[in-house]
Amino acid sequence: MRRIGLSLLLIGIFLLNPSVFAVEILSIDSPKIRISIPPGEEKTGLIKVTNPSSQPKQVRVYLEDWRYLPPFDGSKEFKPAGSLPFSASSWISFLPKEFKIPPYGTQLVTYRVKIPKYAKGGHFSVLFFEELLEKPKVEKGVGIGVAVRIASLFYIESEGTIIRKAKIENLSLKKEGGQLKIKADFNNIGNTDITCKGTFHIIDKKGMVYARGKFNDIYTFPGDVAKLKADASCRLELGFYDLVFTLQYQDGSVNVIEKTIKVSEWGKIEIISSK
Amino acid sequence: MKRLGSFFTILAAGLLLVGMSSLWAASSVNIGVSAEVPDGSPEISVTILKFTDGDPDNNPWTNSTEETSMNFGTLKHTFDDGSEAGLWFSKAGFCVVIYAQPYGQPYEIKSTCTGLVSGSSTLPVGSFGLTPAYSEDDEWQWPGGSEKQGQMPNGAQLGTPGPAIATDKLIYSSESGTATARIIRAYYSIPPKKKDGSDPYSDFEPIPLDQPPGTYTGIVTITISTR
Repeated sequence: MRRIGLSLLLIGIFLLNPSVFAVEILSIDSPKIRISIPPGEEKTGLIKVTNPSSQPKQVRVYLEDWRYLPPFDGSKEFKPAGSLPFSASSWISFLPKEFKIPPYGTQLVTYRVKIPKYAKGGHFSVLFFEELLEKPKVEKGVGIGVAVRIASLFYIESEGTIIRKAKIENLSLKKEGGQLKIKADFNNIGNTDITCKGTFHIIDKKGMVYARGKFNDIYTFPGDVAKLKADASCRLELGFYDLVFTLQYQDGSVNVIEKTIKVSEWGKIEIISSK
Repeated sequence: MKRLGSFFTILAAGLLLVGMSSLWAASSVNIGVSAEVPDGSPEISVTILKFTDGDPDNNPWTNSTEETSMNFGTLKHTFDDGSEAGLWFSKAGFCVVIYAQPYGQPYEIKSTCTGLVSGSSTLPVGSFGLTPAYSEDDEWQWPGGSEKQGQMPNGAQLGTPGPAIATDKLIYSSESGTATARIIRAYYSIPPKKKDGSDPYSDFEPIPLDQPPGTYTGIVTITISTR
């Protein structure tokens, strides 16, 4: 169905610009691979690479390291293999490293991950599948080739050693007109990555909900501190309320944090206690 | 009497229904239905368009030719009116049009170029520029229909104009949640200064007229990854 969708889409591009040909880039079936392996052991797997075009493609496969970048919204940077603190690149081997895929063909790439006995927590790497559209052809002046690469991100966890834990710090609530602005630091104090989707609600002692909202999604490695931010329109009168954070991590675990807040005169909001 | 009649009518209807349902049960077949939505990577297609009109209408689809690499050719230092630019530049520009189909997964598109080299000489880092762009008017089309892609989604982000000789320079970052298919433009250029003398983008560096002559080559790598 996906193929049909894409084919239709590409047919559309042909129709839009009959003189223009869109080069279809290869695709992979595993943009993210999360594996848990007991220390000292290994696991293998396959990645299917597909050539959706009518032309054969030459593909180069190689490893690099990666990490999330501030403001930890999922943006990443890629670095040479073995250069970042949580690199798993030296634990991964794969074959083939270069291959040619015929038109509409597929190629399986086998990978093996062997983690050391001392390994703890999460480690990360990325396998790139790259095709060079054409080498620069220029006799004089400046010529630049264009390559396109697709990432398969590896999240490798040393089984039995994972600590997925975060601390919420520097919580602040501010009223600006009818808007309530909530900010907090999300400090990944564990030893693996945490992807977090969060919501909050504010209730009074009777359980009546006064505000609810959603935090920005955040993506962190151990030691990263991301900003959780949320806005909601609400009118809080003088009194005490409970602020409840519900943070859901990528493994399905949920971290619920409750704070008692006090709204005093002039709309000032104080955080009284944690539960 | 009337009530008793109604009772028998209802009883008869009930028996009929029970009988019919047992008939259906005896003659019906359960057919299992299953479907799988695969967990694939974002898929992209690219078109490289070369324009030599200086792109006055900022439309890569007009007065352009399709290419498979970016050949800027021989650089020049004078404008069409014969005036001196005081630096080397190319009148040609390239727009890499990226059609991204993420199948719902948030994604980002980045550009990396390690340098433009001729032997031991390199062009200044800021001389080769990248300007990401988004046009509401770019269209998805299919047989019998078309649709403009419309506004950029809330929460999506375009990279800023700047040197293309950079690592992981952002072209486009999709919205969070369920990401949508988009058509993104990445303009690559070796520009002169603007007519008012200002730089075409921040961190611009001119190619000086005493730049060692030679054929300068390099590779631009466009990366797509899920968030």
